[in-house]
Order: sequence, then C-alpha cells, then structure tokens
Amino acid sequence: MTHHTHEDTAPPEAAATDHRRLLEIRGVSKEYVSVKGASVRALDDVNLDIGDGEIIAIIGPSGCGKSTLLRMVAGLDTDYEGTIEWTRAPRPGRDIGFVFQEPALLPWRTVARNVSLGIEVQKDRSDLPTDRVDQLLELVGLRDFAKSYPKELSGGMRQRVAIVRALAYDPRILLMDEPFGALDAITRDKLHDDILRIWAATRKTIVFVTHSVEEAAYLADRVVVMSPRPGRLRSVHQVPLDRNRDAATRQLPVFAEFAGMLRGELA
Amino acid sequence: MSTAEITTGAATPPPAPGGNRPGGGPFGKGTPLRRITVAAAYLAVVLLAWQLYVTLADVPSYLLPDPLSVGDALWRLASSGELWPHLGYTVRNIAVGLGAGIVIGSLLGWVIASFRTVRLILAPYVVILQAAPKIALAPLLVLWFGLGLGSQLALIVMLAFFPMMIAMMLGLGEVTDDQRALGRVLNLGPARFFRLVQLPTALPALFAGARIAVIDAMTGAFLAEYISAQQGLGFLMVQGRSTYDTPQLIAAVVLTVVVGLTGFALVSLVERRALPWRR
Ligand SMILES: Nc1ncnc2c1ncn2[C@@H]1O[C@H](COP(=O)(O)OP(=O)(O)OP(=O)(O)O)[C@@H](O)[C@H]1O
Ligand SMILES: [Mg+2]
Repeated sequence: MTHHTHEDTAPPEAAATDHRRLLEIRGVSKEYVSVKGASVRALDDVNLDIGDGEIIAIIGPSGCGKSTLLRMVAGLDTDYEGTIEWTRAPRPGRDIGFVFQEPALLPWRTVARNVSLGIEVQKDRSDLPTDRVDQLLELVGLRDFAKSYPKELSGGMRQRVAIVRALAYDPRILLMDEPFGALDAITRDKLHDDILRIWAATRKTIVFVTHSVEEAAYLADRVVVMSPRPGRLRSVHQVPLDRNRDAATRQLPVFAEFAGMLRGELA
Repeated sequence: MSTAEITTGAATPPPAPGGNRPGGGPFGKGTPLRRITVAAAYLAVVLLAWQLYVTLADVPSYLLPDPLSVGDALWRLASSGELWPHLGYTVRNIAVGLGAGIVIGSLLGWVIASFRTVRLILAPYVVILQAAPKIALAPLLVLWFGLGLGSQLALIVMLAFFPMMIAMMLGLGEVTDDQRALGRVLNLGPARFFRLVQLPTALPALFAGARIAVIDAMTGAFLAEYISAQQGLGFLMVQGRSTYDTPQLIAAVVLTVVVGLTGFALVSLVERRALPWRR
C-alpha cells in the first residue's frame, strides 16, 4: 500500500488487514469560483489510495475540503484537476451509498419509503430480504416511526434515517459526511458498533468524515488528517488497533494515546 | 361597475408558494362545523350591514339594491330555469380554460426552469407579460380569435397559465443541492428524477398557484362573457345592466364569486388530500 504522507505512525504489525487497492486519488486539486468571482482553493494536490474493504476516517478543521473530497469520490463533483481512478468502477446507482452532511430526506415520503427509495429505483433487488427496511429501522431504533414523515422526527432521528437509507440497497462503498454528528453519545456508540458489525459481515469500503478523533480512532483502519486553506492532506495514520473493537477498546492506553495524537495534529 | 374590482377582492388570499400550509382556508382552522358556522356568521354580518346601509342611507335600488331583492332575482333566475345554461356555460369554460392553463403553465414553467437557453429567450417576455395588465389584452384577443368561444377560452387560459408557470418555476427551485446529489448517487435519469423528486417538491407551490389560477380563470371567464358572449354569467350581468335590472346584475356578480370560491375550495380540498405530509 502506498501512502502519500508526510508522516506515517503506523507500526507495520498494526496493519490489521491487507487491502487490494480500490481507489487511487492522484494530484487532486479543486478551485471553487464564488458568486462574486473570487476563487477559493478548496483542495490542493491531494494524493490518497483507498483499499477495498478499508475504513477511512477524514478529519480536519471546518472548511478544509472534507465534504468536497468525499463528493468527488462519489462522482458528485467531476470538476477538478488530477485523477480519481477506480480499480473496479462502482456501478451507477448501486454501489455507492452516501450519507450527506444534512439528512436530505424527501419530506413527502414516510420514513420507511425514504429508506426504501434506493431499493425501489433499482431493477431487481430480490436478493434483499423483503423486510429489509423494517430490519434497518429496527437497527436504528426507529421502527415505530416507519409511517411518520421526516418533519415529525428530531434532527438526530432524521440523521439515523439518512444513514439507513444509504445502507438499504447494500452498496459496496459507503461514504458518510459527518453521519453521527447530530446524535447523542449512547446512540452514537451503538451505531458505531452497528457499522462495525455491518462491516464485518459485508466488508464494505467505508470513507467517513468526522470531527471526533475518538470516533475516527474507534472505527477506522486509517485516519486522514487534513489541513485548512488550501485543503491538503496533512498526514495519514494507521490506527494501531486490530479490527476487533468493542467498548473495552476505548479504555486501552494505546487508544487514548492515538486519539490524543490526532487531537494534537488538528491543533 | 368594474369586474377587476370584484375579482381582485376575491383573489386577496394569494398564498405564498411554499410558505402557506393547506387547510388554513379563509375562515381559519377548526372542525368543519365550526368553520361553516364562522363563515355563515361572517356572511350574515356582511348582508346585514349591506341591508342597513341601503335602508338607512336610502340608496335607490337602481344604484344598489338591497340583499333581499338580489336574492329575489337569484330565485327568479333559478326557478325559471334561465340560470342553469348560463351557469353551466361559465363553469364549463372555467374548467376547460383552467385545465389548459394548468397544463400549459406547468409545462412552460418546467421548460423555463430546466433549460438555460429557453430561459434566456423567454425571460424578457415573462417579465413583460407579468407587468402587462393582462385584462387590457382582452379586446386584442377578440380581434384575433373572433367573438366566439375561442377568444373567451384564450382569455381564460392567458390569465390562468401565468400563476402556474411562476409556481412551477419557484417550486422546481426548491429542490436542494443534496436532493440533486441523491438523485445522482441513485442514478435517477431525468424522467425519474422529475417524478420522484422535482414534481413532489414543486407540488405545494403548484397548488398555491392553482388557487390563484382558479380565481384568475373566473376573472377571465366573466370578463370574456362581459365583452363578447351571448351566454354565461357575464352575459347575465350585461343583460341586467342593459335592462336596468340591477338586482340581476348583482346576482350575476355574486354567482360568479361563488363559482370562483367553490373552485378555490375544491383546489384546497384536493391539496389537503394530495399533501398529507404538509399538515
Ligand atoms: N459550492 C461552493 N461554492 C464555492 N465555494 C465552496 C462551495 N462549497 C464549498 N466551498 C468552499 O470550499 C471549502 C471547502 O468546503 P467543504 O464543504 O468541503 O468543507 P468541509 O471540510 O466539509 O467543512 P465542514 O467541516 O464545515 O463541513 C470551503 O472553504 C468553502 O468555502
Ligand atoms: Mg463538510
């Protein structure tokens, strides 16, 4: 695995899994032109490889281009310099699940119909169990709200709906932009474990943005730290933990040490 | 007597697209019974004030007849059977013109909102048309389409399509960037994106537009008949005027307003059904 990093704190033995490369981001830069005509350099020469089945966390100060990078990977923004190359290109509408920074639910659809949207619009998903939506709503504790409309939910509940909407059609790649930001600590911890369980069962490639160094350390294989203006990769760190993570993991000295190091990087 | 005055009066609740919730209605919230009671009480007060004014100020009946003689004229028209063909004619024209106006206006709004070139070409005309007193075009329409049904329907469509066009443009503008991105992640083509995202997003605005379009269609129908028809409520009004039958004149106006308000109420009813998520 190639790391284009300034420092790499990963001890070799800590690499829990060896991943075949899925995605190669080379020299990606992005300039936004504001309404008034001024240009903002959102990303500057970003290089990153992402392995198949890897979990990557992106952290960095607000406005450093995390969302921009994630949207590029999703193919939502194709206006950039540099290249993003897939080893195995994702099938459109099927392989990428995206959780937006805002829930972005369709207000005229009930919770259940929001979640089922991605399944509905695909040709044949008889491979998925018929009670898929119910199961997912159960997972995030919203089964009783299946028939509610989004406006009847709290912000955190909406975000949970948005997360399972992205999971519903079982995409190979899950991209999440601050998915757990609006959640209380208990729900967040539970969802972390749910995500890890889903990963263990399906080996999805997961890239997520977060502002929480603990979240990054708990979930990720590697943590990408970005620096602001223009957004660059400051460093990429291998998480010094194996893949079996549970509540006890958070108590480990190495966990606290790693999180503390990340926090230092952000300052 | 000015039709414009009456219709602008009736069109006063212009629901701001997106802002207004359905079900508010001109008489507020509450159980249907309560709302009907409030509406009836309101009507009674207006009628009473009218009657008092006519009696106390001693207004001659050829200027403003009292409510009772208007009611009498209504009853005369209804019981003699003279009313129904006229009423049917006007209602049919409103329905046809409104239907066409909704389709044309929505399509035009969609085209303008969706295609940059079309927008650049049409935008100036949209603005001019918006600024023009559309009613002043009525004589021109008579010139183009003749005195018959053609010019009448043309006028109704011209008045009704406009709010629908604006509503569609505003409504489509409410689609958020994230919703567009979601459409791309799910690989929805333009047709499916329209059906699954754009149309439902625009629907509240379209209903708000339709409520205005109903009233505008009524204005158009009445005006067209006033100018050129041999039939319809507008014709009844003209007839009342030329025979110095002021009660009939007022009765025709009242009926037109009732038709307009009924249309308004029907749109609100459909809206409540169609947008349960907005309640
Ligand atoms: N549509 C846009 N037009 C112009 N500039 C933009 C646009 N979107 C983002 N930017 C700029 O690009 C930079 C990066 O934005 P981005 O949304 O990727 O940041 P972020 O790291 O996700 O921040 P946050 O943590 O606050 O979500 C910002 O400085 C922002 O001003
Ligand atoms: Mg962001």
